[in-house]
Amino acid sequence: MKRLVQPRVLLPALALACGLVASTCYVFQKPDAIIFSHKRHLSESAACVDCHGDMTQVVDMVQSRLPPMAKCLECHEDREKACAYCHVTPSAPEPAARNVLGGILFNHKNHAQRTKNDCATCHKRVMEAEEPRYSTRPEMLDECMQCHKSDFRNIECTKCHTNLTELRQKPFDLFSHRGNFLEKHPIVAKGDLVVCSHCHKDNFCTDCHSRMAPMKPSLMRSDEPDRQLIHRGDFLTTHPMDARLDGKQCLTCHRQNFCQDCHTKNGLSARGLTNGLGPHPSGWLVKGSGDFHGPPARRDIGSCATCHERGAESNCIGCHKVGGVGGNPHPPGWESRIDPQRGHACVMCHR
Amino acid sequence: MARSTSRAHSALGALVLLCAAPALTRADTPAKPATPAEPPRVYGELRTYIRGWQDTSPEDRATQRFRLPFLQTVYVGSNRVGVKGLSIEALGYGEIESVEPLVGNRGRGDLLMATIAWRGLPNDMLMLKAGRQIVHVGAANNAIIDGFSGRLELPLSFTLEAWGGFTAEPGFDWGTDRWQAGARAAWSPFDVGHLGVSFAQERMFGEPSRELVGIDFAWRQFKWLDTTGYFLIDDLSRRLQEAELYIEGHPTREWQLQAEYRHVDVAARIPKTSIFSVFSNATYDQAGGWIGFFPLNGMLSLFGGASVLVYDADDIGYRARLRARLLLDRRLGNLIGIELGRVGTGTSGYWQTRAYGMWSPTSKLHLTGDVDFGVYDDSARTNGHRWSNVSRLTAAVDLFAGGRLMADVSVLVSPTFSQQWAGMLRFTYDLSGRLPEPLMVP
Repeated sequence: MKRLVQPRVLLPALALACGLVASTCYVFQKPDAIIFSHKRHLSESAACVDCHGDMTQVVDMVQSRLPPMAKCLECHEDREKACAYCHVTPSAPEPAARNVLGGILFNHKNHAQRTKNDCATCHKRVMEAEEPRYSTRPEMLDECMQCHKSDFRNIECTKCHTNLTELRQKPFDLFSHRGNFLEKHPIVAKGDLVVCSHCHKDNFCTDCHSRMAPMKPSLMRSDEPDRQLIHRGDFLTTHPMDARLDGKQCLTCHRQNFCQDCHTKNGLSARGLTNGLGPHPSGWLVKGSGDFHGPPARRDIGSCATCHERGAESNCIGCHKVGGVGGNPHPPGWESRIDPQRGHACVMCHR
Repeated sequence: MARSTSRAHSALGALVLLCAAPALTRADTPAKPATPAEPPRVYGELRTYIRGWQDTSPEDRATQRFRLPFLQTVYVGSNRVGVKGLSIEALGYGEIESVEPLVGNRGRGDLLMATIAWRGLPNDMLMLKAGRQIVHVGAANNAIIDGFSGRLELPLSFTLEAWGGFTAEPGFDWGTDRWQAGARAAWSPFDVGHLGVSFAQERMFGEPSRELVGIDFAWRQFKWLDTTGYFLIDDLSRRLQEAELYIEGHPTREWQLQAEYRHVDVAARIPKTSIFSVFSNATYDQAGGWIGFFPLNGMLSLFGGASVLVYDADDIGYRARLRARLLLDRRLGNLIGIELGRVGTGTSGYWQTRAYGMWSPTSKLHLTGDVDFGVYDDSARTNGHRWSNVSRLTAAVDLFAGGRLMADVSVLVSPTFSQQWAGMLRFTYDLSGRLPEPLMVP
């Protein structure tokens, strides 16, 4: 009987498999980390300086006061040979990783004096920390703000941060401007404009939101094409479609007279009916035609108001009044708290 | 009479701008420190724009005419003026435009913002601000007023805000019968969210033109999930004017997921003093979803999504957008990006594509390019011309500390213009001597 598997094939295959397993184990070997519970050590009457030495004398973020292993062995001498007591991967122990928080100016000595050496004033979470990671680090918006809110609001970021582009703090979404932040930013500002003012002064909002602004924002900042700004491209052509899609957006910044001024200036108002440049299709005033103005006007009356708002002289009133050919202007279910005999708009018809 | 009033208002605007001039002078020569610990600090920016382009005449659209406006904006502020907690800011502009010999020069200008603010009590609990300002308090829409605003932070994370003043109009066209006021009470446990209740009223012709009651909220129980929204009720017509809800999740720093819902009653936003407010109570609803992926530590940004706007059963609009941006050098701000967008309104629509790039060959020279291409569905509304193209190049040079000169050239081909060339020179000077960073947030 012929052997199904020849030894000369089996042995190299086995060697290859062992090699694969060994290399996989090596690649996926858990990296070493230190097992350490601040909570447990502090509950056993250890003081911060017992391990971190003269931390209260440190004046910058460069000097390390992470305790060396020798410091641990002062108490844990009986564990000298039991590496797994502190190391996650005792077969390949590594020194504790020191994750230096870059771009921060911080003086432990000054702060220790102000807090009377009570480290937990800033390192609040250290009492509960089960891991020696930077979860014990003070969060800017929590601990630092106990004293530095004035600096925060005066945008004195450089008192502490030397590099804002590397800033990583929570809550990320409050300060992140990625995604469709342009659409979302009003909702953030509505809740707490103070958040915006941490980085932006009032003139930043005014660039876009002032009705008196002399130039559209995308032109004012034409050398920042990556910024999300409205009115990009050939907005002159697209704006009727944008306005039809979401008229509310226009009314956010522009009042009615803004559109009216421009349309009048460019011959797109009443004169447009004769020069072919008017915004309305030919059947606009013909009832029954597919382009009759009634349905679109009901759908977005704001578009009508942009050009035809002239108070009592508005051209709708000629037809849409009591007894007029346009009939009752009010839609079904319409109601108002305004006294029809006194309201500024009501008395145009109800008098 | 009205014209003389308008002139008086323009003169007043000019006077206010002139008053800001001494502060600019001081910016160049540092003032004597009030206290050694807190030296005076004047910040601000001057921007000068000179633009030129050709335009069509409204009388005869085949006729081209050239326009050359000269625009100067002045922004100046100080938050260390010798009195603790006091700060001042002002932003205004003046423009002179040479249209054509027959029309002659035309000038205009305005004060966009001018405030004096004070922060006081322990940890800045009280803030008071007076002057021309944008207020955006609570669920109501932002307003520009000539008046005051205040904010008081109370214990247990409660906040009270109030504002009021005349509605700011171009050219200081005040009317004592046009004013607005509002207030908001909120509870905002720091970092977790807020819940606010607000009221705002705007008056025109001596009667309420808007009266709004709003509720705004945000909740961030987890760092990776953010729920934000508001309701706005039009108290005069007893209708829900707007409601908006955003849910944003970022399970990891690389991913961002957003869902939005919005309900809008457009007619309710029209002042009740307008005859147009009585014609309609139509509403629309908008729902959409967006997804973003930002790998390579934010160097690559991919973002896209769509939202649908439903006016009624057979009238639906939508917009969709895809964006990709690759940051080549974070320090210099070198990047390239592309965008693809689509807008559909039911009766018409358009496609829009963009490609842009920013490149700084040296730390003092900054170049950008931007090409925008639009294609339209409905040729009837675009004079039979179905597409448009805008190409733009800019080059900026940092001349000295705080000073940057930029040149901008653009070409537009569109249904309106067979070819429009435009050029702009912009000079910016930052009083602090610092130039803008290429990017703040990835």
